Amino acid sequence: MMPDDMMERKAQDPAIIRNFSKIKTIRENAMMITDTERREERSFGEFISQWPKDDVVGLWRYLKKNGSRLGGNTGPYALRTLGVDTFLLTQDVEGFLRNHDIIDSGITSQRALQSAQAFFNDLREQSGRNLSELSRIVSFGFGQNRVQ
Amino acid sequence: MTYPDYDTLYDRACTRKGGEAVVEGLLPQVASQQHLEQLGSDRYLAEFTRKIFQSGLSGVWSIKSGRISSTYSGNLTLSDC
Repeated sequence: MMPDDMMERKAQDPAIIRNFSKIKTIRENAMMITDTERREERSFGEFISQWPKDDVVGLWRYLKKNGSRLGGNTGPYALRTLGVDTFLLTQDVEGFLRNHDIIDSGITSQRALQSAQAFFNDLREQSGRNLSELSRIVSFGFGQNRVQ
Repeated sequence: MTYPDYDTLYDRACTRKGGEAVVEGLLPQVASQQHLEQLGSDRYLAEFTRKIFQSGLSGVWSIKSGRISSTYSGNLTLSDC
């Protein structure tokens, strides 16, 4: 999809920060998207939007496993910006979850992610609010409260 | 494990933020199912790419944000790749 010489040109383009390993992710993630569409026989937008709402960490994991450099907070933050409903493991949210022993292992472990998801699913059932709203409400109640 | 219920968390947010109206105004917007279904693959790729380029750049991000966003906001398409 992207010939090598085009990749090289882009790597030398002064308008692009010269980080070749990051530029390579463009092609790798484009392949992840087209592979997904081929396998799923639906558009990537449909694939993303139809992912079960109570398992957004499963979608994080899909992006991490099949995409390039989309692990950690990168995939989740991109989803949030796109308008996909997701909680985020910000410093404040992570602090809250640890403070209440909802997570006690590494923040990227599947166990921690499942526990965080279960917590937000519980709040969702209690309130009828979506994960994005709940994530921010939790963050407002913890830490230094920088968001204005 | 025990943790505060939703009402407690919401009250806490309101107390710290200065009221219900302030909190509601600060909550993130979520796109509709239809919008996300119809959003092009290139838009997904562009946003993934933007976040990848932002990562690890917190110190210099403010200097370079104009450049990165102008490079990747409007004209990255799948056919480019």
